[in-house]
Amino acid sequence: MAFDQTATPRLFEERTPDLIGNRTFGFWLYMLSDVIIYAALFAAFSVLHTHYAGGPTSQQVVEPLHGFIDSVLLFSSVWLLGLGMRSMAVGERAMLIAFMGLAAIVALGFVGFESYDFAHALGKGESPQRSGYLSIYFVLLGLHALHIFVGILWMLLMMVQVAFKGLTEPVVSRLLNLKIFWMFQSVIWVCVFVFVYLLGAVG
Amino acid sequence: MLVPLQGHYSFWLGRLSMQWVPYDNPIIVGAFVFACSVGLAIVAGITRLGWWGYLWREWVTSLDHKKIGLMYMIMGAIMLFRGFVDAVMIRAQQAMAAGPHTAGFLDASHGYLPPFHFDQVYGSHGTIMILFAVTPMLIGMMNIIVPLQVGARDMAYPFLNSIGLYLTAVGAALVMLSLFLGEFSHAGWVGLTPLSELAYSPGVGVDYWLWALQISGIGTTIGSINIVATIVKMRAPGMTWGKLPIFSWTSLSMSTIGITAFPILTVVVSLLTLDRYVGTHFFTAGLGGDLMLYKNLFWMWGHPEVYFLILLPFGVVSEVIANFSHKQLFGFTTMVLATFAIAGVSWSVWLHHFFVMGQGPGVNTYFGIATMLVGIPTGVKLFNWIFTMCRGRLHFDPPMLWATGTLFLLPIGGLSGVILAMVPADYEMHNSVFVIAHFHNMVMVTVFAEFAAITYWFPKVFGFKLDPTIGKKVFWSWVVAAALVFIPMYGLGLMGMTRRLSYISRPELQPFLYVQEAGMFMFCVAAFYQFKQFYMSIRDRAKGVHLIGDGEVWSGERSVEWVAHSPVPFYNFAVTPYIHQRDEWAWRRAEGHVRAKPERYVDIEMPKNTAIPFLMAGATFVFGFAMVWRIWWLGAVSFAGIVALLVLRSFIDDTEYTVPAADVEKHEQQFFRHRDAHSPDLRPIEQAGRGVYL
Amino acid sequence: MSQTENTLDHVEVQLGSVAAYTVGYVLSILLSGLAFGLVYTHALPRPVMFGALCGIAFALILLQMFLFLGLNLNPGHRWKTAATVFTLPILILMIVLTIWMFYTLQLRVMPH
Ligand code: HEM
Ligand SMILES: [Cu+2]
Repeated sequence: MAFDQTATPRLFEERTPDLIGNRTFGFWLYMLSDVIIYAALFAAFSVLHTHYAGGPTSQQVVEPLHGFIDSVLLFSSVWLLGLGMRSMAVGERAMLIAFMGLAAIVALGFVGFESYDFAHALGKGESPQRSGYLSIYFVLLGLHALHIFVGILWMLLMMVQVAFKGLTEPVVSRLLNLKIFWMFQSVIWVCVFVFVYLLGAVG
Repeated sequence: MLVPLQGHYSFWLGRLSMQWVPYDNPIIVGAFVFACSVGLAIVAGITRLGWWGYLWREWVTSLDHKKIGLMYMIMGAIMLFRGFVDAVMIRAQQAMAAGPHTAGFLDASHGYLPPFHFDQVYGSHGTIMILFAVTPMLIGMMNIIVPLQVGARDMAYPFLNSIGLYLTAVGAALVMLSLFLGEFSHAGWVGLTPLSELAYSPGVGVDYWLWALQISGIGTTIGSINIVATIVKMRAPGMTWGKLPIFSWTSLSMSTIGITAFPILTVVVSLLTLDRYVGTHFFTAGLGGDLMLYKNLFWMWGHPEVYFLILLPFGVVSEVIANFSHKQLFGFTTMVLATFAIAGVSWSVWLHHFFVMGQGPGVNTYFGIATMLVGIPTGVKLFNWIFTMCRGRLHFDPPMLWATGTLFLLPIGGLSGVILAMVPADYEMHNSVFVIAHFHNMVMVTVFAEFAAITYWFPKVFGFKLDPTIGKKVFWSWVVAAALVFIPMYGLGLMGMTRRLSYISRPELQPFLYVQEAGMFMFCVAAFYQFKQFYMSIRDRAKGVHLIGDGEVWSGERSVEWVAHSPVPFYNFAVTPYIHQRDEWAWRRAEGHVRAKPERYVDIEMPKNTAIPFLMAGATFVFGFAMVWRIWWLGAVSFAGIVALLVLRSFIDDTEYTVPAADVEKHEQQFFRHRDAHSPDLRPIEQAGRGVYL
Repeated sequence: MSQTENTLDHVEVQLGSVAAYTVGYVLSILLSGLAFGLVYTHALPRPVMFGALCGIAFALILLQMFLFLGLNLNPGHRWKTAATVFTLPILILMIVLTIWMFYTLQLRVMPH
């Protein structure tokens, strides 16, 4: 920046903070750290995925069809939330709440279906205590399901806030963070689906 | 789901029972009495002075980044002291227990600490020093300086900032509690598996270690996010990336490591926790667990963590050396590039902590070479500092002494690291005290830089200097102490002494251990001077060294933080400065803008105080405690409390208050009057005029 | 609230479009369906299958990154994109180096 020696320089200048931009950026960083968590788990998975210890193998444990159904559910939820975000952008609160509600319900289906799978596996004696492979299997899937569950609660909270507070700056920034959170979960799910379910089925 | 446990268990109290109170150990009872009396004295003192309300309003609930930073520093200092006491105990035990004929006291067959107790002291020393002493002090420094250096009024997320502080404090509190209730981990600061698995460590020690790391690790991640966001988003108008001061650059690189590495700690600690609590098989010695996976994940965090500790000190040294050489920092761009090169390479070197694991030579070569590459950017930095000093007007005030000290420590520690990076050499020296000597040498760089920073920025924050005469004594006693303790350690390592020994079978090593013991004595002297320095300086703050100025304290300051007044008002800048140069203050001084005032003042928005972080800390502490003792109902209740507080916070909208322009103006006027009355000696600087700027 | 309008004008609020979300959605289902179909019908020999699945995963991730997360260089997103791009090599190093070291380790110390 060239400085004009003759003019009196500008020494002070107030600036207006960008609340939304600041908050979503920080949350994005947080999501990146979340991605690192998954990466570390996938690194562990790459080591443990053959450690069956005489227990069930990955082919016996995973159901690729269930994985695919899960994918469809999750992607649908993400899409619905995306539509909700468009409604927010044009200020339609009712539509936003409706889309969020739908997204939450579909996501609940996802969590329900996965819990059913977990319960089924446990019933067959395929518990996380059985082998190194099952430990990482349950932790990877369980952590993702936990994220989805937290996301559902978050959506409920945001529905309340949108209804009662309206689209104020803090509420909007939280909604944007929710969106980022949800879309990241979808990206992570791709890895879970392909590497745990599909490659697990291939063996 | 849960694993079966040995020993007593009850629903309401979990594993807790009187058996866990170590009332029969005279050392711990002594420590307990000491801690209680100090605690009581502090409580009594505060009550007598009637400070509770003040502390609550001005500190505990404050979101002011400077106060949070100070609390970080104070916590770090307390933990530094605790870690130091551990070190004294370790050194004394080793000096006493060298050879089969050495005497034993207090249940120990040699020395005075039985192995199990010694291992706990050893584990807590490492854990405390790295995670609860040095790290909080670094984060505290960033907290105070980074917003000032980027010309902001606070961090990007003041609320999260406070949460980060309290999470770290909770971790530290858990470690402290383990001393009096239960035990601490005996598996070293790295939590060696499978020793740290439930089968081999059935007590609560490892659990304390796990939860302390888990909670404080999350705090550090949050803190790092905050710093990065502050630097990226909150820079003052005119401050392009090229004008970002070096300390902020290093903060940025350190915090990127924080964001990317600490989540791995979260993972590795969680997996070990699952092993110990629900019986999974991640790192167990059977049923498909993999011990080496633990080492892999731990060091995947651990190595970036050690560079996390060194990058910020590089920034401090750069600032201090430029200041006290009265010159611009030499090779600024290469300095920044070197910083990021180190941060980047730190992602390809972690295996050097377990070269001996048994993997193929190709892998070892890759990691060995990558490790050695770190020496290059480090060397660049060293030369840059030397060239900065070259032909400068050098002033050896205490900050400069500490900074110059690091220039000697760095090559010794770095080169010993490069020696360890040679795989065949590491096969010989791994797990010997040579490694300990290496990393203490490096961590000394961090500590020296922290002392440099404290003495350098103290007047910035408080408006008066620490006594330089005592400061020099602190420095020299540290130098002697560090030399006496760590140089023999290199020798001991090469002679084959392994680490973590509570008994040394070779009496011929004892002379070296005695030399180290002499070094510990010097450390005590240094600690004494350190206390004296603070005590005397604070007591005599009104005499002589009192300084209130337009920033200027040392006469060579360069970067933006000095544009703010000293001591810094709570709003940092009455009106945000427009940044023209990387060394904005040096430029303003040269151009004669030192006393420039804004034409008009404006309303300022500041974050409101809140008690929620503190309450959350309380709930988190209870949660950690409940989990250590496996009191499930209490864990559930406290966790629900944490969530409820977070939700509550999300419903509070007026988190800021406005300082009206008139109040700002009044405050500023008052400051100017005070300054003119007290610091007439500051005028000549203004007259120095153009040409000083280099 | 009077503030509402300015809030909604923010670039980040206006990011993304119905079209982008819908295209992303449909493509995601198609691609994951393709991957599933390959596995379900054992269409490919194992090594090829492995490559194909990795390729599909990669495509899916990119697709969602751009269409869902709106990764791009406009002012609202520049720093997010930069942060993401800097994180990617780390993820790769973490996983690939782990695979490599444990592969050579297994060969040497854990003969099955
Ligand atoms: C030129 C730079 C460096 C090189 C080449 C280097 C190299 C190494 C190597 C090869 C080891 C493993 C030795 C073994 O266990 O056999 C090691 C250990 C260690 N280094 Fe460094 N290092 C460097 C800088 C640092 C820095 C800056 C720090 C911290 C501030 C540090 C802290 C440590 C610690 C804490 C350990 C040992 C941890 C443990 O096993 O408990 N190093 N270093
Ligand atoms: Cu290392």
